[in-house]
Amino acid sequence: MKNGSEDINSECGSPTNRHGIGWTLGLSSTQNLTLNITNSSNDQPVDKPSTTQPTQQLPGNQTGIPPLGSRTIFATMKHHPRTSHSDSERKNMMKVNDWCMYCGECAGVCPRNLIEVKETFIIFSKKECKDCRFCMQVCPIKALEPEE
Amino acid sequence: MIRTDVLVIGAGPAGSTAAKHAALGGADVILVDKRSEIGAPKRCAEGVSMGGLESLGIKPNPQWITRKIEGVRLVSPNGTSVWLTSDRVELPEAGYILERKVFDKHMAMDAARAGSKIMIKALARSLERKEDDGYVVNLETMGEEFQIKARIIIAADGPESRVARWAGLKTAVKPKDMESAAQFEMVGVEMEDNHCIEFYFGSVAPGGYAWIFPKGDDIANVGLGVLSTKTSKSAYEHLLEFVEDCPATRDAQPVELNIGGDPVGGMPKKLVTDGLMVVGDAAGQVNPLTGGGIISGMTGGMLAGRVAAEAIKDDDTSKGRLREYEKLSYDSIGKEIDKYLKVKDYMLSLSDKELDSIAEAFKDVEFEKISTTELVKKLVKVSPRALLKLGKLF
Repeated sequence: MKNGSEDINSECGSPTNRHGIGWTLGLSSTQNLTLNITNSSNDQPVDKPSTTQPTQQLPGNQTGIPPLGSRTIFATMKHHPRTSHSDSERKNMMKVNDWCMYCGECAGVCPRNLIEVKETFIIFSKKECKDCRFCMQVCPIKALEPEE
Repeated sequence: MIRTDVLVIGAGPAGSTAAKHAALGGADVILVDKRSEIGAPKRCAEGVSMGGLESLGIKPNPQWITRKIEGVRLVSPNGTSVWLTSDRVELPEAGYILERKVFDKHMAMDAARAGSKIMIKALARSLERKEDDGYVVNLETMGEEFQIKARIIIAADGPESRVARWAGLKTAVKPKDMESAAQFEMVGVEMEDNHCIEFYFGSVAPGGYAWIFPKGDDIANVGLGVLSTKTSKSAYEHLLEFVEDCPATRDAQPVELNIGGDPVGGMPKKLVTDGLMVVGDAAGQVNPLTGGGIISGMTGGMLAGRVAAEAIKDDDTSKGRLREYEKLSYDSIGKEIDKYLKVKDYMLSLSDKELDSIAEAFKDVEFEKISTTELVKKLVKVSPRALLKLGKLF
């Protein structure tokens, strides 16, 4: 039947270290994690869903997204007191706006199972993100976006 | 470390039903939910069929029923209405609109009465397979970490479906199969018949439909689902437009906003692995045409709970043993889903104009009873193309 997308976790090691380095975003503060579109190599998730859509216009976005690999945007980040980040590499940052209602739809479409939706928190394991942007695409209230 | 036979992760209707039936079957059961309140916030239009509740052995309870529904109104893009009501169709009461905040808690209460333990505000964060001996699940509650060792896990964590994926099942949903939905609960709704549920088709909700489900004389769930692959606007933006344009809601005021994802792509090939079964939205046990998943999810939960209890008794929690659940699911829920997948694909291919002409033709059709099956049968009769694509299904 449907849902042919393979579980990316199987190639990322055991389930317990699937999280990688996680980011904790609090609801109340001005979290400002931003998206970093990098010159990442073309290593695709095994099942290859539609991750390479070079000129994809994000739903709800005002600007077009340039082809992946054509430029690098460095993220600026306001530090949230409860955010932990020992990883100095900054790529694939997804911004969660404060009107997020924690419905979990984004988590369901993330091919790599990188989004943890708590009751009032999102934890996003950005290290393993391949920038497919399904999460941003499906959000019913456009609470997720890349930071330009 | 806490030990149990069966750990159910997620206390929505599917999870609570799984926990109940596993407990009734004699297993030690723990039911966990990450939220502080079971059943809230709702992400649901709250409609169920009477027959569905009966099939699950659930007695209607006025504490969680807001309205009896006596008919259906289908509305095409230009406003042509097809009424399926008792003056045209012989029908028993077709369904209810629930109050999920109460219903979900009552389903969890039934699990507890059957013997299941419940832990709320307890989030499952990862799991480790113990060879031949189930899993250790790492959980957290209010900053404190703890572990539960379970011989069988029933993953009932909704559209997120993370737990099954931790165990290697492929339950991620592609955007083209995930309805993106937004809904207001509103007051001041003026329906032509406030005992009928209404469905609005066409570009008002690309890839889905809009609904008005009455919960009171002037109260209704007003919502819609879209496919993000069919529109660049958010579900919420579509909802605002719908509410403004629809005569019934022009002067209505919202008291609640709900959002959520609804997996309408069917079930994955595998629903079980060693020591784990997946049920409900987490398993795509949803009618792809209507998006409804309460009854099908609870059915999956019931089947999984029963199989889990028997597997514990048989001292065999291997995937071979648990496949009985997979087979039962496919034979019951799966067959329905297959049919409705095809109907959904067909409906999505229709333009606003085509929908209008089908509605026009439907007005003269006689219906014997109200059910989705009946509607599709008639659809096949009025539309030659429908006959071509769907004729053999029903």
